[in-house]
Amino acid sequence: MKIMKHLLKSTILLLLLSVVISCSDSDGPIDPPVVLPEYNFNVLGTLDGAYYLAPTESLTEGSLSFINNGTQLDADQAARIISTGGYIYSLNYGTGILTQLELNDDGGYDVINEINAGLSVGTNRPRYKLADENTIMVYNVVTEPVTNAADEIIDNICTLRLSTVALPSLSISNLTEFVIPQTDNAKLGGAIGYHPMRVDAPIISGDKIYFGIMHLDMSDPTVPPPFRKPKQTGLETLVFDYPSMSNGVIVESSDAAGHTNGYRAPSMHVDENGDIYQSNWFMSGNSFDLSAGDKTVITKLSNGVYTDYLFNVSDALGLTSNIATVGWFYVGDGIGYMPIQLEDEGNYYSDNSWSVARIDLNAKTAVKLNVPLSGLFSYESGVVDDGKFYMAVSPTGGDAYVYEFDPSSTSADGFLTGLELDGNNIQVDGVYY
Amino acid sequence: MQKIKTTETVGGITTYNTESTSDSDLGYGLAGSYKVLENLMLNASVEKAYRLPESDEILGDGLNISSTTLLRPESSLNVNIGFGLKLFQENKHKLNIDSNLFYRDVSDLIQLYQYESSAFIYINFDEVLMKGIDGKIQYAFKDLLTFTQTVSYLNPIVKSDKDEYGNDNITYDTTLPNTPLFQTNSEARFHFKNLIQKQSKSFAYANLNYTDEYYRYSDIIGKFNKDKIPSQLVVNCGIGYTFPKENFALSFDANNLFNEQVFDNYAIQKPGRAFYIKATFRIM
Repeated sequence: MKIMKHLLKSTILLLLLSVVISCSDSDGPIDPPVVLPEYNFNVLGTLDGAYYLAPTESLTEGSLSFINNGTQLDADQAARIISTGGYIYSLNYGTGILTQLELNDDGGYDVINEINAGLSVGTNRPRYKLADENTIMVYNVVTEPVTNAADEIIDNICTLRLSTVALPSLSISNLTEFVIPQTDNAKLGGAIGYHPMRVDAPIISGDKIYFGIMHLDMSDPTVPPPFRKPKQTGLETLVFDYPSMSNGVIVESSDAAGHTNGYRAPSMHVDENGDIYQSNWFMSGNSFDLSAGDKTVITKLSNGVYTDYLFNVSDALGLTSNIATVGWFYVGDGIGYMPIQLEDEGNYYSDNSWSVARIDLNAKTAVKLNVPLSGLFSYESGVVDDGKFYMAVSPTGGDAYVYEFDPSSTSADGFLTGLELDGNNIQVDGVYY
Repeated sequence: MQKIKTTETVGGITTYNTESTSDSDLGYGLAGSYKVLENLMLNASVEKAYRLPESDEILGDGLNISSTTLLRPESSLNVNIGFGLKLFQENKHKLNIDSNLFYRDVSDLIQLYQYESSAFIYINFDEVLMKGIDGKIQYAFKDLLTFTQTVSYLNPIVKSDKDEYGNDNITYDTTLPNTPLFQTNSEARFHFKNLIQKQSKSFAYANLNYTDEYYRYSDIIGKFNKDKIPSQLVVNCGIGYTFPKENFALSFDANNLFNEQVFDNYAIQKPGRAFYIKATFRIM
């Protein structure tokens, strides 16, 4: 009882004191209002399999560290990010959960909504892409082996399952199923030919939607994907009428070879004329036979078919090393930036063997920029802001920055270093609005 | 000496190779005790220990994890210093206190390394310095009651200044993630004689096991929503009865009474609430 009384007295005293302080305060200088930082961009960092997102005011100056900063994203295997309409959408690749996040005043992100996006397409590892500002497309290819009487796999049925997620409500609708045909070209080679086991990088132009395709030898289910042999000849793209998702066809080009689906960096972009420009993925260390002489190219699709446009990026760069890519970024007016892997510099996955090239789709010129070599295989997003292109380059054992690339410069030094990053073993995989 | 067979298939032709590797390391151990007083014992030990790679670490899983002949044994220098104190041994209240300080300098830790997307191999990587303390207090009242309290605190620090790819390691000199740091165990055990029947023995116990929360990834990276393995409090209890002729005993155990979700540091779930009845017959 005594203690209670004592507590009560202390509380009253404190209250009185605070009233007095408050009164005297109002006569003195006014506290400056708390100025919250104006966050304009978001940066995705990864370390030891964990993914972190942190906001930044600027990409051109200052520094951003993930030490005691940023929000860990739910990422069973990886986090893939889309930024649109004032929200961040984070896909947990491994559970299929799509989370809608909104930046708060503390520099963290509040969870606004969450759905299981993988469920509708039958996987916990769906792929997804922003189709337009109100729609995310989620898709997966389900591969079912066809066996003979001796239980040997003689074919595979590859079914694309695709659904749309309306933004910002996150409601799922329009499930489409389509059995992707194996072209005559894909039937050649391998034990049972090559099968279209993955699609990605969908892009819409006019009344068509285009999906890039990955073909692998699917004859032995015990072989993990990195060791499956890819199709060595020709390019293929899956085209549907949009938005009906009807009349699905595969269109082909024999101008080059490789996958056309990109990896985390997109392989396809639409230019100001509505034409689609597509890069191929043909890389040493991915069981591609480089002796076949195939190169990294950009092809053009228009009105649902490949055109005769061909931009041989490998030749245009004129380097002694073979080069490869998985995807690229388009800035505008025919200018893009392409992460390129230099075969002579080491393994595409674990070595500092990637650079960045400025590519000009109209002039068909390419120049390797003098940025430090780094690992860009998993790099997923850059930002175009005020006519400049920004992406992070975090090299092994070197200093990491967001680089500002000037699309009007054809110089190999046409860039500036901007926002300073942690470096060390924190890899930055993307910058976003 | 490790010998493994590897296969390589090129153009449909499979070739088999036998690969072997051998390694020799000298380990040692030294332990001593000193009775300072009748009821106080000091213990110390030093050990240079090696852990040989497990078969699945060398052979892989035949799917995503490749085989390797490059693995070396994991090595550690272990130093322990402790004491045991026994108080009131002649009394009906007895008290034993034991404590142990330990120091482990581990190098060549065997860890899984991803060298391609979806492709792994075990490598020797990482150095970790672990310091910690274990403590145990045991109180006994006659032959009726024993109460045991243990406490364990571990402070593991990453001492690798490079990561497995050769990058400078930003987590150098910080706490090793994904490792339980603080654990306690409390147990009360009652013994009864001649309960229900003469010459019978019976017991009852309750046990509280606590593991404090810990971070799944480095505790210095990120600020919000960091993955934590939550704290776990597991309550177990049981009773047992040995019949007078001592040839038949019955016991009943209830594990994880409150069905707490429990997992180890690789998020592998352990069983929830479980009940066990055990009957023991002795035919002699």
